[in-house]
Amino acid sequence: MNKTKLIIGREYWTRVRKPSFIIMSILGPLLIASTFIIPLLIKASNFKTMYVQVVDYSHIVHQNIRYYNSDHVAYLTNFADGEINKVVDQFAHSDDTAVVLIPAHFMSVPNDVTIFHKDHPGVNTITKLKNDLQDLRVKYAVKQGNNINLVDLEKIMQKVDVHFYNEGTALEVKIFLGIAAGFLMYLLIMLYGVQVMRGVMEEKTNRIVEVIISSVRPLQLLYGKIIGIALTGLTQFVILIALLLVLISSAKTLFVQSSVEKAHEQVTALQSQGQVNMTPGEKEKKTSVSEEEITQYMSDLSTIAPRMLFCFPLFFIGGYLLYASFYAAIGAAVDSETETQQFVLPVTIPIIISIFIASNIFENPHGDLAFWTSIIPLTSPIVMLARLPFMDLSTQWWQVLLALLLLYATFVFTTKLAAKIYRTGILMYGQKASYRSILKWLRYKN
Amino acid sequence: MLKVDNIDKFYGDYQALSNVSIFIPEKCIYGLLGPNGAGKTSLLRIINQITAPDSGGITLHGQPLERKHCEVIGYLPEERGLYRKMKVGEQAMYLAQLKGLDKVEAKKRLLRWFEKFEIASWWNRKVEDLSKGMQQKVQFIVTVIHEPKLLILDEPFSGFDPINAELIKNEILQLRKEGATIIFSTHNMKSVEEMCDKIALIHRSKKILEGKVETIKNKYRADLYEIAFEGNMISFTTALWAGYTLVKHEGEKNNFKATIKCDGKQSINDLLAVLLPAVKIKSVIEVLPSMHDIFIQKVQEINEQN
Repeated sequence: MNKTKLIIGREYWTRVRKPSFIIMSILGPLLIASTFIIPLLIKASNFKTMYVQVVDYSHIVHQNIRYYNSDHVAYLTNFADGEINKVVDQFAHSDDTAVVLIPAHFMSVPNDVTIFHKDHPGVNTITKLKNDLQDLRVKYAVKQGNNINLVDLEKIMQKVDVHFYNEGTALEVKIFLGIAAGFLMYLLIMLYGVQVMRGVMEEKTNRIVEVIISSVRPLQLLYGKIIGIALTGLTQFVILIALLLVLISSAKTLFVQSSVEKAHEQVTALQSQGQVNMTPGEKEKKTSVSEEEITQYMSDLSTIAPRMLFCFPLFFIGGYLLYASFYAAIGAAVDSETETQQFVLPVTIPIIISIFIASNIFENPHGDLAFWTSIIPLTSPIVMLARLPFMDLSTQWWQVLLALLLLYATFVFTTKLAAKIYRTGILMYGQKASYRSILKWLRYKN
Repeated sequence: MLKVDNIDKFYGDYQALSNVSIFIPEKCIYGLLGPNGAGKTSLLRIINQITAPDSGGITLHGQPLERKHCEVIGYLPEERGLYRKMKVGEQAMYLAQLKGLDKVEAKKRLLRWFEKFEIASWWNRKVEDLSKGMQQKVQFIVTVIHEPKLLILDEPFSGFDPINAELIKNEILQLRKEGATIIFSTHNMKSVEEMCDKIALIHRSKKILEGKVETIKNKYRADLYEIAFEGNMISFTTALWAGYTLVKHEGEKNNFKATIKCDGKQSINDLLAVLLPAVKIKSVIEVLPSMHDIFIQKVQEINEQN
C-alpha cells in the first residue's frame, strides 16, 4: 500500500505542479464562463436606446406603437404621415437608428415592411419590431373583425417580415454568411497554424533542422514553411468555395424542381378530392413561390459574397501568418508534444474568444465589443469576417482597412519575435523550455 | 584555408567560446577535441553560419565568411536526422538542391553515391523503413554530394557499425585526397590518431592546445621506454641504480617486459649502456603518450589550475 501511495503521490504532484495545469485550472472555468458571458457582453456593449421612426401608411400602428416602447427601442411616430423622401432626408441628419416604413397594404401583405437604417440594427431589435407589429396587427384585426373565420385567422396570423432598404439582403443570409466565414477562418487558422507547429517540431525532433540550416538561413526555412503551408490553406479555400458553388447551384436546381413537383402533386391531390379548382395560371403562381424565395436567397448571397470572397483571403493570410508565427515559435521551443500544452493554450484563447464573439455578433454588430474585436489583430481575422455582412462598406470601409493594416503590422512584429525564438529554440535539444528561457532567447544575438 | 580569429560567443550570460583562434590549412584533417559542453558545437555552428559570433571573425581562403560559402561547405552535425515520412530519394534530392545543385546534376551524383553505398534499391522507400546505419549513410551522402571544399563532421562515426565506420573513414580519406579540407569533431581518440593531421583541444570555452598530432605527441613524450629482455629481474633493477625509474613490469622466469622512465638528462643510449651488461635486450620501444592521455592530462591540468 505504501508503494501505491508513493506512486499516487508522484503521479499527482508531477501533474499538479505543471504550469499547464495551473493555467488550465484558472483559464478553463473562464473559458467556459465566456461562452455565455460573451453574448451578454455583446448585447450590453454600447447599450443605448434605439430610436425608430415609424412611417405608417396603413394607419394601423402609429397610434398605439408607443405603448411598446422599451429601454432598448423607442418608437417615434411624429413622422407618421410624412412624405417618404422628406422623412428619409430628415432621418439622415438625425441621431435616430432606423426608419420603419409600414405600407398601406400592411393588413393583407405583412411581409413588406421596409427599414432604412444607418448602423445595422441587431437581431434583438428586429425581432422586437416584428413582434410588436404582429401584435398590433392581430389586435387591430380582432377589433375590426366580426365573425372571423379560420381563413381570416390564418391571414391575420401571417408573420410580419421586414426587408432592409439599404442592401436588400435578408438578415438570415447575413447571419449565416458571417458565422460560416468566421468558423471557416477559425478552422483554417487552427488547422494550418498547428501544422506549422508540428512541422517545426518534426524538424527539431528529427534533428534534420541543423542539416537544413547549414544550407539556408533559419528564417528562410521558417518563412518557407509558413508560406508553403499558407498556400495549402488557400488551395483548400479555393477548392472549398468551388465545391460550395457547385453544391449550391445543384441544390438550387434540385430543390426548385422537387418543390415544383411537390406542389403539383398537392394541387392534383386536392383537385381529385374536388376541393380546389385552379386555373393553370394559378397553379404556376402557387408553385413558383419557393423558387422565388430561393432566387431571393441567391441574389442576397450574391450581394454579400463578393466582399466576403475578397476579404477572406486577405484576413486569412494576415491571421494565419500572425498565429503561424506563434505556433512556429512554440514548435521551436519545445522538444515534445506534451510540452506544447502550456504554450498553446494562451495562443488558442484569443481564437476561441473570437469564435464566441463571431457566433453572437448579429446581436449587436456595431457595438463597442464587436467594433474593437474586429479591429484588434488577435481577434480581427475571425470577428471582422463575421461582422462584414452587416457593414455598410461605403461608409465603414476604413474599419476593414484599419483592421487589415493593424493585422499585417502586428504580423511583421510577431514574426520578428517568433523568428528570434525560433532561431535559438530549434538548436536547443533536450532542454525543457519555459517562459523564462524563451524570454532569455529573445535577448540572444543572432 | 580557414582562419578563425578571436571568436567570442555568449548565450545570455553564459560564454560558450572565449577568444578562440584556430587555423586550418588546406587538405588537412583537423580534429576538434574537447569534453562535452566545451564549445565545439558552438564553434562548428559559427563556421557553418548557423549562428554568428559576438566578436571575432572567420575567413575562408582569405575572404570573410559569407552566406555564399555555404555551397562549398558540407556539414554533418552530431544531432542529425531526416524527414521520416519522406521517400529517401526525394529527400536526398531536396537536400542536394538546397546545397545549390540543379535537379539533373543532383540526381546523377546521388545515384552514383547510392550505388557506391549499396542503397540504390531504397531510393523509393520511406526513411522510417531504413535502419539507423542506412540513414547515416544517406546523411553522409547528402553532406558530401555537392563536393564541398570544406567538410565539417561532428562525431561522424556515431551510430555506425565497425564495417560501415571503416567505409566512412575511407571515404573521408579519399575526399581529402581529392582536395577537401576536413574538420572533425569527436570523442573517439583512436580515430583522431589514425586520421587527423592537426588538432585543437577546447575546454571550458577556451582553446587550450593546438598543433600537429605528431608535434603534440612529441611535446608530451615522457621519456618512457618499454624494454623486453631475457634475464634476471633483480639484475635488471640493480642496473637501474640512479637516473631511471621502473614504472611497471610484467613477465615471469627469464622473460620480462619493463617500462622505464629516464629521469633528467639520461638518454636512451645511456639507458642501454647500463642495461646491456646486466640482461639480454630483445626490443626497445619508446612509449609515446596517446591522444587520450594527452587529452585527459591537459584537461586535468586546467581543472587543477582553476
